[in-house]
Amino acid sequence: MSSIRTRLPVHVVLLAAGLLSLFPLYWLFLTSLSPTQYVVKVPPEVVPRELTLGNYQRLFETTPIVRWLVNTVVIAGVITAFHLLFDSMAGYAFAKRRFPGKNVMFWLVVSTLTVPAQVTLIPVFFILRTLGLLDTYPGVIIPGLADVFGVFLMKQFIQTLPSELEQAARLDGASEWQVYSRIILPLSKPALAVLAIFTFNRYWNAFIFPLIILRDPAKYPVQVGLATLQGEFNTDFGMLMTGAAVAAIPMIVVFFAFQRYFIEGIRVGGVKG
Amino acid sequence: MERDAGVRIDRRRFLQALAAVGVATACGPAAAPSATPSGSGTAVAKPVSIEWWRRNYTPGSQTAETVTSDGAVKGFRARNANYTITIQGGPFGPETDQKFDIAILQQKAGPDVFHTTGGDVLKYAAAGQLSEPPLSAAEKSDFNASALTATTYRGKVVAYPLWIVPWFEYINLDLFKERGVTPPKDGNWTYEEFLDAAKKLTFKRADGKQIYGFAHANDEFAFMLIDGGRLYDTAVKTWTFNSAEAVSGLERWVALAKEKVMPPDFLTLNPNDSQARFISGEIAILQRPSAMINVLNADAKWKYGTNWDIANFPKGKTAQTAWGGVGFIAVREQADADKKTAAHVFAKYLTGPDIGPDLKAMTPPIEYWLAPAARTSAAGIYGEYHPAKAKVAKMGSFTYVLPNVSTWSEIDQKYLRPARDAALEGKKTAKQALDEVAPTAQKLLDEANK
Amino acid sequence: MRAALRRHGWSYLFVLPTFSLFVIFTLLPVVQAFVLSLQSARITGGDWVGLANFVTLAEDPVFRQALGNTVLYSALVVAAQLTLALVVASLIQPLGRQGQTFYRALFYLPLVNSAILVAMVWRWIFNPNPYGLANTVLGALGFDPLLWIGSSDQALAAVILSAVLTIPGGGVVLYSAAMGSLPRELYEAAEVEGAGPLTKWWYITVPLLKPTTLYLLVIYTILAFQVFERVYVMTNGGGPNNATITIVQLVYSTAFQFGRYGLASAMAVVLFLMAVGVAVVQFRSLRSDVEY
Repeated sequence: MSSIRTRLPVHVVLLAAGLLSLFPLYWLFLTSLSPTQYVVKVPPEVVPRELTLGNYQRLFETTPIVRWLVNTVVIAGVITAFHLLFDSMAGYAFAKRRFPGKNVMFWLVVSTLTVPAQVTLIPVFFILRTLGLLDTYPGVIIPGLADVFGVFLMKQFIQTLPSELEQAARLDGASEWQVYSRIILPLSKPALAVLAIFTFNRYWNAFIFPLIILRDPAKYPVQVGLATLQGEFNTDFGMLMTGAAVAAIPMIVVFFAFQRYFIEGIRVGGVKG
Repeated sequence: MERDAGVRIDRRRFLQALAAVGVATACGPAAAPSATPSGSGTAVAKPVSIEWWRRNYTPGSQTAETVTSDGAVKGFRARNANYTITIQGGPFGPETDQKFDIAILQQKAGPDVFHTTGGDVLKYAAAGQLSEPPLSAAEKSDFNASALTATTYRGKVVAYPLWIVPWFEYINLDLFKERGVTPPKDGNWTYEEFLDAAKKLTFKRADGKQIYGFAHANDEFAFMLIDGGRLYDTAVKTWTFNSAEAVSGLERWVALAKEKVMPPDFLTLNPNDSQARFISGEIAILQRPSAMINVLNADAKWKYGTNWDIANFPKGKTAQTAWGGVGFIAVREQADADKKTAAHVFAKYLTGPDIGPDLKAMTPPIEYWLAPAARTSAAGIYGEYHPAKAKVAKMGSFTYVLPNVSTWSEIDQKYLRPARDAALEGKKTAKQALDEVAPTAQKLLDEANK
Repeated sequence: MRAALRRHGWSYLFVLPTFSLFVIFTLLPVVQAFVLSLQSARITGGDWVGLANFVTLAEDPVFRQALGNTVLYSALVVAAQLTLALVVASLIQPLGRQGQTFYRALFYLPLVNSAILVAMVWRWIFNPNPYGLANTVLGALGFDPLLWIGSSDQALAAVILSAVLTIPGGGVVLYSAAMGSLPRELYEAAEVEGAGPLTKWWYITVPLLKPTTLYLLVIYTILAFQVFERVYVMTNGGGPNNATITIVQLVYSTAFQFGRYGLASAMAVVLFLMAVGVAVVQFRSLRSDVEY
């Protein structure tokens, strides 16, 4: 439609902004490949002088990083999967259905988003202790399912879907569950993809909560594990940055896996692209 | 909720235990497995297992805390084979402190023996969670006096001082030579000599690199003590940090800022930053505790005595002083008498004179002491690790250890540091800044003493 | 009663999993925390003191400073983030499929960094030394270096700048996803009437995106009110002389370092009231029954 030439300033601006935002990631990987150990170069070098795999070697040989990564994949993966299901269900109900108490419930849900996690940490700890879930994987996963950003997100998106589609489906004899699973869910793919990416990202980086709940170091997710590399007196920064670099990779993978769903939108008239 | 604190020997520890026994028998009389730690009565011969909580312990890693902790367990079991010790770790930081707090204070369960620092000791003692160390008079006099005071609650000593970490000055000898400044003889210098050196050592090289004479980390009170200023009176009931001496100490510090001998971001340097700047050669004198010695030794470019040396805190109007921190080992008060006794035996070992030589004799040798021991009889070996450490070991006699006050953290971070910043930035005079903080500090001190 | 259940049964069923978990693990703890704000609780429990904690907060100059900093930060950062997200997503939208994919990835990828890491980079950018990146740029333009995070006057500005100068990848992604669902017919109709790109954008795209805008506005505001890690890393907690102290930083240190859970909970209550008040206003202004 438009030639590259008219788009050129747009491309320049976008590229500049995007590359600038990528700088921390670049610096991270750069430091992981530099011969740093106890000291991060001040000021950091933008163009590397020396590259080495020493940090990676130390990381994989002296720390249980693989275990940590596996733990985190399990935790973040399970939480994300459940969120995709539960949040779309609840989002659909809040968006499209009328029922008594709906507004109260929705406002309860949204208003508690404003309470910082540090404040609910200890009460949650004691609830988990009562349930006997301390130092267990479910103990880390289940509270993660209670976080409601996703419900709000799905509600906003599903709200924009035309009601005629549901009504038509009902007239065709679809059950309530089928309306949800056959109509709403497929049309929500872009929002679900966004939800998957955001949720995975959020729980991949979880730190304080797993730290307080878990005792067994074999269960530590990666951010907790990396924090243990910081010493009271000395910190092996090279290894720490490398750990962060390694930890960034699965999230990049998840992003690319889900982002193709963005392109699939809907068109009024029910014909999917 | 009771954790199974029983035997959790995985294969690695099992082999270590075997090795320990093997070492014990092979080394003959040097490591006789009879219970030699004195004072706590007869050693328990039946098998007991206890849990030790050590911040920064990560099984399988090579951090100093992990290596020394594993070594400590090995050394202890060589002497007391009937004890089993499991170690629970956590990353260094307030979140782990939280975790410990929750376990100890709220659940009244958890570690049998654990590391702690500063105000935590009093917090736990106030909750009745600490078991009083059975120390004889001889043993008590062996400990550094101010360290013992720091762990005294309502007249009773409630934990074992482990080590005292003095602050001192690291000096970059290359820079001193470059500017023709003589390093302080035997590490002693007055504040005036120090300021003079710092001024000479602040310069811009031909290639544009700016060197600064002095730097410190942002969590310090550096020179506020050197003219005799002290936070509290001896009874720790009155806040005295706005006394003329404290004000004068702060003014000395402000003078450094005015002379611009410190880098422009001196208010933001956290400990690791300040270390990094010294290592990159931008700072001539850095005020840090003993841990940086290991970092410098590990770096091929830094040779002790050639490129770097250490010097004492500059001397002010009063006797030589240095700022210091203390680490403690505490034993939890609990009903299980066997575990408690075992925990005390272990705690005495961890803070006593035997552990240093034991770990030094292992293969490979482990430097257990990360700072000079709080017990005089155990202090010597720290100096044996390295000549710089030998100098540090001598600083214990004048290192001033803060008395522990449970609200100190709040006084420090919320009020005292901002006041210090305001004075250093020139927004308030030293006297103004300290006077403004005094009432709030006194209120918080009263609360701690309630 | 039974008829009501039959009519609404499915609705409740749909919200049941999320809501029941929410009640146990979010609502209950929040209520407990709020109850705690009326006590002088340290971790070992405390006595009832009614509103004394709130009075303490009102009289505490440090808390007032934190409030002011947080509100200023939020106002500026939310406005910037919303605008940037919308503009960038709008610039990406007309590009071809490959362009869209490339740029979405480009703007999203920075999010895989932990926030802590990004803050560390900004800390270096605003380093007070002449070799700090910001100062180098200033120097190249002929200006003197500034103290940035090293000065109590400039530190907050540095923190705000670091947030404002960051393209919010999440918002870009969300707007992109939403824009992908917008019906083409409306645009085609507008083009037939001779509408140019800017007109189409302002009169069609932006209004249709209201639900997404509302979501982002509310979420960004909540997140900005809760700013903590960025400030913690960039300025070691509160900056020189408490210049950058924020509410959540104070909650964190009051709870975890000073051990005053009651007081920390009171701060959370204040934050809650502020944020909910703002959210109500936001919902009212961006209410829309848009379907497409």
